Amino acid sequence: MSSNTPHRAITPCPGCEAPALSRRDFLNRAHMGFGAVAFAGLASQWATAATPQRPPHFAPRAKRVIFLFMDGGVSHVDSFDPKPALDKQHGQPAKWRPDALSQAVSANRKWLKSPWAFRQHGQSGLWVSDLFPNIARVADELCVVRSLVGETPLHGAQSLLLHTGRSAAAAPSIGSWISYGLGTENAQLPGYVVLNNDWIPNGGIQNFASSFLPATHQAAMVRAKGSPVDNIGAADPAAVQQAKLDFLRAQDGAFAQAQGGSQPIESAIANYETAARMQSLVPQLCDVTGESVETLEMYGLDRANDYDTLYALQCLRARRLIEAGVRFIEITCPNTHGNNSPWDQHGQLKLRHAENARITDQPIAALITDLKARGLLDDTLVMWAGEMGRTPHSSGDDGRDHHVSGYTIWMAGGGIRGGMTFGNTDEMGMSAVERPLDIHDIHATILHQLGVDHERLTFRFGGRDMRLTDVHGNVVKELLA
Amino acid sequence: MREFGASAILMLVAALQLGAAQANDWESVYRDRLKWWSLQPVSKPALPKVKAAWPARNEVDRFIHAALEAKNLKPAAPADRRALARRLSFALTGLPPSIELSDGFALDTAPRAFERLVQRLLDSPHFGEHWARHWMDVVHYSDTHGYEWDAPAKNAWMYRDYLVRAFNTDVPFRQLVLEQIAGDLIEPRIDARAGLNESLIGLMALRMGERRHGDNGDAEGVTQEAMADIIDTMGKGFLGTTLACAQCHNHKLDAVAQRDYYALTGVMMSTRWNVRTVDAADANLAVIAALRHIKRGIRTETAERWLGAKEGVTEKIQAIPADVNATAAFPETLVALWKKSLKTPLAPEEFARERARRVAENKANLKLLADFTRETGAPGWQWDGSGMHHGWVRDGEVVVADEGTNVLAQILPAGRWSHVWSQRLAGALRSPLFDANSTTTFSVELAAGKHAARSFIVDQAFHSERMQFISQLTPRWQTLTAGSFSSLEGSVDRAPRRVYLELVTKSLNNYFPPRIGYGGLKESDIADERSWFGLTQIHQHPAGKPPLDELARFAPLFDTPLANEPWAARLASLLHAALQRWSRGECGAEDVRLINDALDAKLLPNDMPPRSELAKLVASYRDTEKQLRPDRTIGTASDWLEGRDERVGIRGSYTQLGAEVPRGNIASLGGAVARAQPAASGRLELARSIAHDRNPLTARVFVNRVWLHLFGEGLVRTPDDFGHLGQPPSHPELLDYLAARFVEEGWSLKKLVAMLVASATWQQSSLPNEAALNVDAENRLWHHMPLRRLEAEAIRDSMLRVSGRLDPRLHGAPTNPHRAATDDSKRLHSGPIDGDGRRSLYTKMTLMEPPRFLAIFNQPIPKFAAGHRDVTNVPDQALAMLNDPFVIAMAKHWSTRVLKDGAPTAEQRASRMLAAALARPPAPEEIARLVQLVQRSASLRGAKVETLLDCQPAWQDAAHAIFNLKEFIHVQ
Repeated sequence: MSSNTPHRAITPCPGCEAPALSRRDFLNRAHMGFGAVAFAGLASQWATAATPQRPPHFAPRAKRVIFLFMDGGVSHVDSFDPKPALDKQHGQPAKWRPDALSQAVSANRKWLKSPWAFRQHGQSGLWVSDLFPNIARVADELCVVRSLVGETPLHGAQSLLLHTGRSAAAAPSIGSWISYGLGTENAQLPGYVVLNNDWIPNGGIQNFASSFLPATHQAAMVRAKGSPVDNIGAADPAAVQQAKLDFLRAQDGAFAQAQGGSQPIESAIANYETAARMQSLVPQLCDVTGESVETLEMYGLDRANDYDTLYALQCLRARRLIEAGVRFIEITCPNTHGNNSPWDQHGQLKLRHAENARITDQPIAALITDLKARGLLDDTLVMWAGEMGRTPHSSGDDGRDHHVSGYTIWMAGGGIRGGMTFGNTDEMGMSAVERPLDIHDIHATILHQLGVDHERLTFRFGGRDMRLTDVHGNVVKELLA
Repeated sequence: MREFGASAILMLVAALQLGAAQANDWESVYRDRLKWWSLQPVSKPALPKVKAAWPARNEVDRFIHAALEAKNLKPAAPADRRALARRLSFALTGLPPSIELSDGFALDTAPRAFERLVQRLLDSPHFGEHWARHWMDVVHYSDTHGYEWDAPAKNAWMYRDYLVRAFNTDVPFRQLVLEQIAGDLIEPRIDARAGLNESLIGLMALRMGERRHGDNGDAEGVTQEAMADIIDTMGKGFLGTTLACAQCHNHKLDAVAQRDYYALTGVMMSTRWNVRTVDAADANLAVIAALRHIKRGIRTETAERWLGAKEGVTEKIQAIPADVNATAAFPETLVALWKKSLKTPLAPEEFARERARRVAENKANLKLLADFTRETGAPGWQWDGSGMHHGWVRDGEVVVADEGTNVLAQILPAGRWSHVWSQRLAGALRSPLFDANSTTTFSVELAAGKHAARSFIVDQAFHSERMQFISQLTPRWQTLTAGSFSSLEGSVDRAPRRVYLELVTKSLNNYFPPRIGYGGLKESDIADERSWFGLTQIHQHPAGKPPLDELARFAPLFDTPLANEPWAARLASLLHAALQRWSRGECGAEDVRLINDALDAKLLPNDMPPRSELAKLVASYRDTEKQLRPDRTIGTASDWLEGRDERVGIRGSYTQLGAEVPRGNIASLGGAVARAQPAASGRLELARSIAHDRNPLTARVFVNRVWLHLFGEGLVRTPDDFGHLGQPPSHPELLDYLAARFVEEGWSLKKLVAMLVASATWQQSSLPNEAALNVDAENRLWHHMPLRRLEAEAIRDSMLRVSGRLDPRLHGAPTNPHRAATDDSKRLHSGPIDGDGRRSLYTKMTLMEPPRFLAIFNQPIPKFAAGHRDVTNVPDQALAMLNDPFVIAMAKHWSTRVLKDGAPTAEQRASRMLAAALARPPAPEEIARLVQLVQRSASLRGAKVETLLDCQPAWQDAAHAIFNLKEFIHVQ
């Protein structure tokens, strides 16, 4: 990872002499103020500078959330929901209950066994397939829910449902609700950050939007490649920008005064101070070059492939942002092939599921291990979820289709019970038959861990008091430690 | 646990307060709710008497001052004249005034100086651009449909241009309401200069927003969601009513029953959401006359050539070797017949037997559904597009090859063909509804190419994925089946589907371009304007019994005198006779097949001899063809008199359906009235009731929007909700006075704007007095004009204008925003940093990723009606102004211009720059500050004092700093 340079070098005036500042001078100037302070120092400084937070409804178990979005739908029967019956009936014509929301794009469906072996891991003996060898090593932290039920076997609808609680209408994202409900721990940083991997999931940026909630609660996108945040790289050398800021301070101050000390003008002036600091803060937070070699290797930043290192980078950034006080972080998957959702393997299941697992498995396991080692896992809730599962049956021998009538997600940390599984699908992995849950129940449970009553977190819009969970959702107490 | 589709509809607070208003007591609840203020007729109140001596400039002030007086408050002092000029320029055009304009006004002491300035700005073409953008927030304008693939909203930009023209020419708003709901059903309003049927364009208003691909047969609810969006936009936009609240149950607070929602759904579901041509007149008549003349010459030359080629044809046939792998199929072409006859000549009896069988089978199986060979042979079908208009031909029409070395592309049988003159002319052909309860199998004899498509449209789908591109040069039968459009399992209680067939060229296809890669479409194919199709007949038949070739053209082979000749000569003579009939203009469909066969087999010459007359004619045809103007098309709607009432969705479900509801307006606004044509959708009657002079909401809602745009907040501060959960008007009598006067004055936006800005209230200073602030901190009484941050577009446009980069041209296709990261898979391409200098209005609004710079300054994400914009104040905005490449590019552009201004001193240049940006003369200390910045920047860059005026980067820094001034992006 190259170091992020917050400011550009000075362009000499054409036809003029060399710049008056040497590079050394420039660097010194650039690092005046916030930039000169060490990272740890910064973090504590933010804590004191944080805006007043909104009090939770009751004592929280978790303070923040990391959401690992497995875009496209990981196959539950190939990852966390072993189905021995599938092995036995492999190749037999598939029949299932007509209410199963399972995409059957063609006739002649046959049961398809998993190409990955399942094993029990950890003291808890949690079942994880060989698809995720690293995540298997933190099995005792995982709370696996095998009985999620969705609404429609379509990516866009399910992705919006997972993010916003609505499959179609434009509603705020869960991250926006949490930012709105709890405020920010750090006034310098947004409450909701999406660590994106240069691919916008189905459903579009609506997945991350504040919708009718105030715009400050929309996700700040941090890109994996290139500049992490829009306009964060200073267009000017530090000294030049300083000259402009000095001019603005004087001129704007006079204007504010002439306007009778107008509050919006004063705020806009203050924003320039914050923005100037963010130019160095954000790149520093996103710059992981100061991390130890062991940490970099644990996350997999030393790996060969771009997708692998970028996903690892975003996972490591997630930990740094959590430390800095960001409330809700989502990490999206990179799209490696074509223009379909990353985990959407209607074909080439073995090849592409393995590839997606290779990209995500090690960094995710590292993130959980790292959070735990730093004592952060106790109050950081990690959720791993796709918008759907995949059909246990297939029209071919190496692909699975959309499936929402029973699929798996898992959570860890944040007062969630580790090393357990909850709910179950039928013997073929078709329908949730034991403790079916919908995403509203998961949303309600996450809010509960944050100390928020999902029925009391409301916002009036379009004539209604809107909720993340609409009129649904129950806290699932069995999942709580 | 899971309740499909019933998302987000319950209003919880209201439900707690009122309990569920059950159907049996709804009538009494409803009657009570009808007493709500916004449902009362608009009455024009008398002007209040005001004692105070403040100068009232017009009626507006009488109402405002009376209310202030009642609270013992005073209005603010009049605004400074230059501030007023700047305020007016932004309010009317969204652009800053030049320093000349503001100086001119400041020094003009004539009593009517202000009125003159208002008139000048009302007459500016930028007025229409600015007010179009306001309305675009309400209809949530976007150029694409978001969801998974961000499919294009078909030529939505033409609707944006329509708004610009409409506001510039002050088309009565009442007319715009009619057009945006039922523009296809009213007397067309033609814009003579643009040559457009404006009314038809208006309907794009309702088509904006998120649209899924697929249809109800793929996933129940796809169309209903679109209808919910349409009803929501229409309700909030025109009526300030949250109609969509009633999708799942009776409205919890307003006088809208769940039945009302489904009455409206019935209207909208009875509408075909087609793409249509909007040219008011045929622009191509002269060019087509010229093409006809040239084509006649080509045909004469070709006939001469082919008729002289008989001997050559015989030789060519003889040269064709026997086909070792000849199939058992009965021969249907000249060449196949020759090959068959080489071994065992086809016996007359065998031919006669086969022919008789086919004739008999056809007779038994086929039922003619539509005959396009006759001008009126396809009742119930409708065509659109100038290609179709000019495309009805008799047997033997030739199509000139538009590229390559061939003279002709093909010979056409009688029918309707979009490419008779050019593949660039549009065509659409749409069927009546099929019987949804029975499966219908039918065959179409068609040919098509260049991504012309056929699609079954199920339940008014917008982006049907039943669409298939057809590539078929010679006409052939294609068998299709309508009726087997399944649904998701579980949806047992659904209404029968509406299904029709659509054949369309690219420009009349709702779903072109479709999502990336669909149907093998390459991105390079999109820019190719060409696309064509045509057809002869459609026959219904039992499955597996398609029309058979009756082989009539081969019959003469077995009759004397031909039967006596050797086979090769016999075939050549058969062709020759067909060519003779063709050359005399007497040929039939069978002759056309023979000739096309011969062309396919290269038996007839079709090349262009160099420097020949034929080559010249073809070149001339191709040149002339380029002068054709392709049809202008846009997503709009049509009413096919196939209206059907909808059933209530129980708790909003798409699959659990209750009673049928007569389609029409909501009960409180007249309900389902008698339709002029009983089978009509009812959209016309709906539009008329909304656009009615006595509708209590429409005029109130619109004048409130205009007030909001001019004053920063509305008299009703919830412009999209005049119901119980909206805010009541601060000045109900003023609102009524304005609404009544607006209607009296013919629903004229310009008159309304002129009156409002002429008021002393609007011309107040933005400096509040302390006393007023203490009593009314929110300024609901308008004791001063609020200081306002510019809207996103005005910020960007101001930089374009002040830097000199603004391209003031109106209209046209949108420009992609500049993007740091593109996504070709969603067609999220990047455009030039400076946006080609075009106003923000012309930046492409992709729903999936709206322009970021504008979004940072609160341009609403165009997913739903947004009559009121957020005004956030966040560090992202500072970052954008400090670092966004557009801002830097504008600063650079400005600096290169000022370098050539011939200013003798840095002070003079600095002064001019500040004046240009702020529309006021700067104070000496301001000039000194800017010069100091320039000096500091120049010295950092190593410039000497004497070269200061030539140090471009330093002046770029000055320009950049000026853009960052709070004064630059605020209006007093």
